[in-house]
Amino acid sequence: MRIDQVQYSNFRQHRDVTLDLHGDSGYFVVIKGNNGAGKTTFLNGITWCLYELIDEQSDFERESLLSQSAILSAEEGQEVSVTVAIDLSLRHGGAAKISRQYSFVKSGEEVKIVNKSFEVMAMAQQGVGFQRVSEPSEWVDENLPRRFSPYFLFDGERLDRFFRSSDARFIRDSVLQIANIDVLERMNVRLQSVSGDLLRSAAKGAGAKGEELAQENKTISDAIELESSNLETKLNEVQRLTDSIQHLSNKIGNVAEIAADFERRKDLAQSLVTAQNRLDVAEAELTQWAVRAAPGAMALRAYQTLGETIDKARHDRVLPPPFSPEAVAELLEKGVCLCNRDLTEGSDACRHVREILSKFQEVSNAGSILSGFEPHLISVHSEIGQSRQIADAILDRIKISKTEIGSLKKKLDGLEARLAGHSDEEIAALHQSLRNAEEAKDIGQRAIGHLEAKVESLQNELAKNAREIAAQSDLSEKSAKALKDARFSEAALKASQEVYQILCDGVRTEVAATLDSQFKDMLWKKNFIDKVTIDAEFKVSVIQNQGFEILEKLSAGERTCLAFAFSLSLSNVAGLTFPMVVDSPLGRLGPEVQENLAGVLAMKTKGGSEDEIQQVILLMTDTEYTQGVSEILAIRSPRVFRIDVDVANSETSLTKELG
Amino acid sequence: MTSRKTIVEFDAQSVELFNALKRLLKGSNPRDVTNKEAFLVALGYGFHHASKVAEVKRSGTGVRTEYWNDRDQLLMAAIQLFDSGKVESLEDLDQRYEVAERYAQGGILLLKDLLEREHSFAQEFAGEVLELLPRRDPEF
Repeated sequence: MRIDQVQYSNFRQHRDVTLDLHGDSGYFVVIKGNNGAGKTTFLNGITWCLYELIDEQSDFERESLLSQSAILSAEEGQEVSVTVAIDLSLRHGGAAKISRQYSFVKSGEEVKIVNKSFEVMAMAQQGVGFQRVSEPSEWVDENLPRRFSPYFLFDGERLDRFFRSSDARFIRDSVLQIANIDVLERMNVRLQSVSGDLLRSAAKGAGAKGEELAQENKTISDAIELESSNLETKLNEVQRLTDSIQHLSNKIGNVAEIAADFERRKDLAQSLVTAQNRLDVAEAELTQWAVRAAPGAMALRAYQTLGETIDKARHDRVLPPPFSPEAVAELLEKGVCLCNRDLTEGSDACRHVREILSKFQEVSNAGSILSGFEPHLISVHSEIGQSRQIADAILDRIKISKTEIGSLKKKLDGLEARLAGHSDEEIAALHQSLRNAEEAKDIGQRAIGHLEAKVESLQNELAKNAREIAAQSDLSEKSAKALKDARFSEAALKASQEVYQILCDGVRTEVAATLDSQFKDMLWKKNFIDKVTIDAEFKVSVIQNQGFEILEKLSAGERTCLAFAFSLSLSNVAGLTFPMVVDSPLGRLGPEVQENLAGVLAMKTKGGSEDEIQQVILLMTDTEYTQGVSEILAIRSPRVFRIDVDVANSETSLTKELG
Repeated sequence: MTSRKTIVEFDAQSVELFNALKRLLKGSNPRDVTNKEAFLVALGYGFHHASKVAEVKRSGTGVRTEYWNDRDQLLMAAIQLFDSGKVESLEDLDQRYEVAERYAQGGILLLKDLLEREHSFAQEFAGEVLELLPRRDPEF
């Protein structure tokens, strides 16, 4: 089976896009584009068209499918439709055209859904013409089973969590359905019913006691049927919850980095506030410093003049000397100097000393003032000298704070860009939904245990009742014959159950063996894995050489390989080659692993005959479709498309790249 | 040495400018900038740019003379000495205050443009002060 063409009309940003995959090179396709260009929308369009699911959910917002530019260009009251049409090639020259459409009417700024349609036109073999399929959903489920879809419509971003939360029941259902063994299971149910009817017929022919036992048998059988139905409902409910938990876990896994980014943003914002505060404090200190330092700094010339004036006064000895003029006056009064020179009135020496004292008196007032300023001037000089160092220290702090703020803002801007469109509330809501689902699953599982015990008890009662009917029926010839029929039917049921079990084990073993060989073949680290098993409960285990189970410890690349290997194994068992669409197959892997995995994908899907070739459509970013990867994929001569989005009108265009 | 003045005054037309200067120099600091600090900043700025008005109009607002300490007196005396060129002028305290008032008024008028750039005033002013200080030599 292969996809020949997918046409998108008004599907989100794919306003009018056709992916044409006719021809040989359509078996291996690469659609490359930047993040946000619309690659995932390609995959979403396919799952919506086939199963009416978006992101594995059926309760998506219908209106969100419609292209924004289509809404904008529509007039009030005008009908606009979103359509995805898939053309498939089937085996033996058959083909199918699958098309899903939602129609909306524009009302104000909103659109309201007015019609939904789903159509399959199928052609069993070449030349017989297309015919409308009366039950299109059933046709799709038969040819591309919904349960099987996670194994061929991959979201690569989730591949590393593949199998982690998928439970055994899901894998069991997928395997049995794909191998058509589920038919036998339904046959067993029918045989069980026939066997019960026959047993009751036998009882009814055995008198009043037999009638009573038949009635009791009917009551117990009805109770078993009711409780089994309840059990089935509960199991389905728990299955849905398990799917939901897986989906939520995937989403949370995807947003785990976003949640961490939110935490980082909080921390960064706090650091930014702290750095800003430090800057504010330092700038305030600089201003304070400027207030203190400005007058002195700006009056440096005046201080210098004052200093020079003081020096000159000292040189001219007009500063108050360190002796008292009164003492000189006292010597004059005594008329003799300390050196015994004559200082008597009228002497030359006396006149000279009196002249000095007079001169001293003249300048002593200004000299005193100058002298008083001197220590302050020295102190001011010293402070101005240190002032620069203080300012430089403050400036250093300002510089550091500004650098830190710049760096924090840059990081914050980067985070803001990554977090655009996300919110803390959204993540909290996801966690809450996950907790709710897990609680509901716990309750469901307890109810299942209770129901299983009840069914077992009823079955014991039924077995006892059957023994009593048998004993009673032996008493009547008519009953004995009916009993014989019932026992035959019971034997047939038992045989059928054994066959079912054998087939079931056989398919499981076959899938496990193929999975084991495919997986080991894919791994680039050879001789590391001993085996991959699927046990009777359909639980997948990966056993390494020393006997340890390491499923949960596989690397992202190994887990991706396991997912691909499982997909190929199921295709092998089904005898069909489903087209494989993988979104971001190499997104989370390192360059070396990317190239290894690209090689695996290219080689393992190569096939032999046309029916065996596995169609692979890879949706890759430029960081995935590297030179190395493209060279490795070149062995399959892929058809390469480039998807671009016109930001102005949010519409995509698809261009085929020349080989 | 005494003075008849009890207040060294802001010019009557510049009281608001001095208030603006005080506000901008305060910035985010918790402590208010005093009249004396603002006056000394304006005085230094006026002296540095040789901006001295001929006369100061009395406002009755300014700095009470008892608030001047020895360091403040040193600054005003140095400017007075530079301005007069006569050491004897230092004995005239009234003249010292008058010279200071005239330079302070000259300074605040020059600062007017800078004051209008409210957000960057403190930084630009601090930058200008920094430029005046020698980078390495602690002895100026």
